[in-house]
Amino acid sequence: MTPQLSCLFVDDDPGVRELVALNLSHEGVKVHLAENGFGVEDMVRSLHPDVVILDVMMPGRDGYQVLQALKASESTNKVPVVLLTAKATDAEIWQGWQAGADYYLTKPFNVDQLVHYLRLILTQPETELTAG
Amino acid sequence: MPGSRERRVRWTALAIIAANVALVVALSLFVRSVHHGPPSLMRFFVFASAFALVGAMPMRLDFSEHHVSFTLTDAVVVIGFFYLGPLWLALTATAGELAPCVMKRLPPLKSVFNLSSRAAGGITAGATFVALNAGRGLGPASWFPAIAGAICWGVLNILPVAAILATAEERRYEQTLSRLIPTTAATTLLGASLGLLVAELLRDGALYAILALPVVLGVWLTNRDATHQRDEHLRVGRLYEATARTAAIHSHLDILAVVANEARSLLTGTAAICCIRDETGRWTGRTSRSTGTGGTRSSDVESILNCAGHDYGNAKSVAVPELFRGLAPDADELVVARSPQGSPAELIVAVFRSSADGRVTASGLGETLSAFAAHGAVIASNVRLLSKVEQSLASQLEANKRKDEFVATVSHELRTPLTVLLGAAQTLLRLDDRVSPGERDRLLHTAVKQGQRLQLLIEDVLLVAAAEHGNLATEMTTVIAARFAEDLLADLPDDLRLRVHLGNTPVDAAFVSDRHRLHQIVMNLVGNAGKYAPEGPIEIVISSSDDEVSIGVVDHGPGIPASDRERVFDRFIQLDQTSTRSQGGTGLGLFICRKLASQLGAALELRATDGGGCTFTVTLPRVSLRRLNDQELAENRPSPTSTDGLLRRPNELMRRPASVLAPAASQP
Repeated sequence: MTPQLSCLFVDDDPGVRELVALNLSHEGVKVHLAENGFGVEDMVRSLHPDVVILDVMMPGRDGYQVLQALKASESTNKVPVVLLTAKATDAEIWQGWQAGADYYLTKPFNVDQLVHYLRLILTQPETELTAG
Repeated sequence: MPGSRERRVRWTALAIIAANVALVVALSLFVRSVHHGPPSLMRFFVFASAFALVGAMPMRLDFSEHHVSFTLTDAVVVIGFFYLGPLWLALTATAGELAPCVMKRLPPLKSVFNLSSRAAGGITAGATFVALNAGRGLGPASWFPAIAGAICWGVLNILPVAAILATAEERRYEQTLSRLIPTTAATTLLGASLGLLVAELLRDGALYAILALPVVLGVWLTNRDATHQRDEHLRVGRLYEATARTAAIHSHLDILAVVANEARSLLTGTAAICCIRDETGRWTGRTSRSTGTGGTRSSDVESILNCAGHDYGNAKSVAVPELFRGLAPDADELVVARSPQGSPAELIVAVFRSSADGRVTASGLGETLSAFAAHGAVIASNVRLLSKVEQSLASQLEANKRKDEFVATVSHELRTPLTVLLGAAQTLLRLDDRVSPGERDRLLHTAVKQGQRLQLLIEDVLLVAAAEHGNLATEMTTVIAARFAEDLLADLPDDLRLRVHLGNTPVDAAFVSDRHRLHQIVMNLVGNAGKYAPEGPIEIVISSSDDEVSIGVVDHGPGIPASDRERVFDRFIQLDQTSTRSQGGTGLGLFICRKLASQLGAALELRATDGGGCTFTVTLPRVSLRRLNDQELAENRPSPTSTDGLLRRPNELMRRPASVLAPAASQP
């Protein structure tokens, strides 16, 4: 019996949050939601999600800042991070990789694709760890 | 300090004058014993005129790039030795010098300096000759004393001049003197031998002296021609150097200062002004003095323009206008040159100088200045073109950058609602019967709501694009303020209508505007007030003065800090982003409002409401109601709805989200 997989989704848009929460919960993933970039590291430490999905453009503290904080700390840098953002130019995607993203998805995203990626990430944690 | 330098020159001159006077007094006591007695009046005038005449025939000698102006006064002095005593020699020399001082209107100090030098030179030379020759009269025995006397005359001429030059140029005295000695020696020997020749000829009768005339004339003409050629050569060389120096790129005002500076040194003037006419026809100028460069008063420029007249491509010498006494106190000549007709820029160069240094028209300096004015015009126009190109490039780059930013922001803004809209539809498809009826309902409403937001954004972006290109069609009619306010209230969504209070509207207030666009602006303002001041009344206040009608939208919400009040009219500025996104704003509303307002000739401003909150005011020019005709009155009835293509009726654009956002109300 495998323990239930969990995900932390951070996005300031309530519509996107609702959509991702609905789809992932139907896949049997427990979804935690946060509406801005503040306190995400603490949530990761206390909730131990299997993956973090981050929006980039958020008021106050953007996704890059959160991503860098997560990757800088021993206690959180093993958790794979997906950037899910409307920043879709080559330069912006490159900036995302530079910031330390494990995966990069652009908005508007295909729900099937998102679920497929997450399934891959969540079912092959060992591969990810060695790759990371 | 140039002021102190001038003062030093003045004191040096005064000291030399005092020394000369002392010398004259002392020597006149000594030469009383060898008194010749006064010459005949005729002889006195002949010698005085001879001094004046040779003084008016300046010649030049160049010695290792130094140019010394000299005259053949030495010859007259030598002749004078045999016909006048030292005292009368000094007096005739001084009298001869008086003429140029008066004619050239030399400043008093300079005149006294010249006169005293002549007197001292004359008496010293005469005394030396008398002492050495001991009254032996003409013949070879007198040649040496005559030359020795002439040398005294020369020495007494150059010593004071060297002192003045050294002080003025801040050089060492010996250096200046050593520069003058070779030329003075040459001219003294030349002058003395000529004088002796004439004197010896005169011994055999006055007519024999005529034989010496061709020699004097020949020397003078040859020297004049050579001087002219040297001047020409020098002039071209200096023009070439000045041209090369000014060819470097300067800023617009810099170039005027540089041209003025170069012109001043080209013509050895004391000050110079360079004026240029800009594209609007306005003249501006810069002044150059030995102390540095500065601006000009408009009266200066006007005066220079008057002096230049319409004499294109030529230089002329005019009297210095009284206005410039302060700028160039010693100048007695103003040389003005205007760039030739057809120059790429219109430019005038004016140089203030002292004509005692030789009038410009004679020495070809006028041509130099007009050539330089033509060159200055070309350089100035190049500088002007370059700065124009740079400016336009910078503004294009800036506009391009702003456009890029706009496109980037728009694309990001469009992606978010599109993401949710597509995501909701895809979720419905893939989960199909696994979603509960409640979830299905929520997803559908989300999709509609986001589609609506997308539509608003696209409408706004198209409106912005049209406004930026100036493609917004406007239909200006006379609008009665009271009627306009009624329409406004009628078009408000129900929830807002309950909060909006319409103040007393002056019955006769009317203005000319595009009714629909103005409606759009005010509806947007009211909508904003409803969103950002969620509580309290919203007031629409219409007031009028003699020439203006203003429509104010007043809320009592949190307000906007003064520092942000202009920023709210920028594109995609949402001061508090967390609340706006949930409010469904596009971040373009106020930007569009202001664009529209300026298109309509109205002003849109934001002030703080007394006691907190925002007051947006649209101000329009008022028209008199009495001038309204029947047709215009008919147009002021509430108009039926019409759509005009892409840019639809503004109130419709505002109303639509309200009806969609509250679907429960429309579904029984």
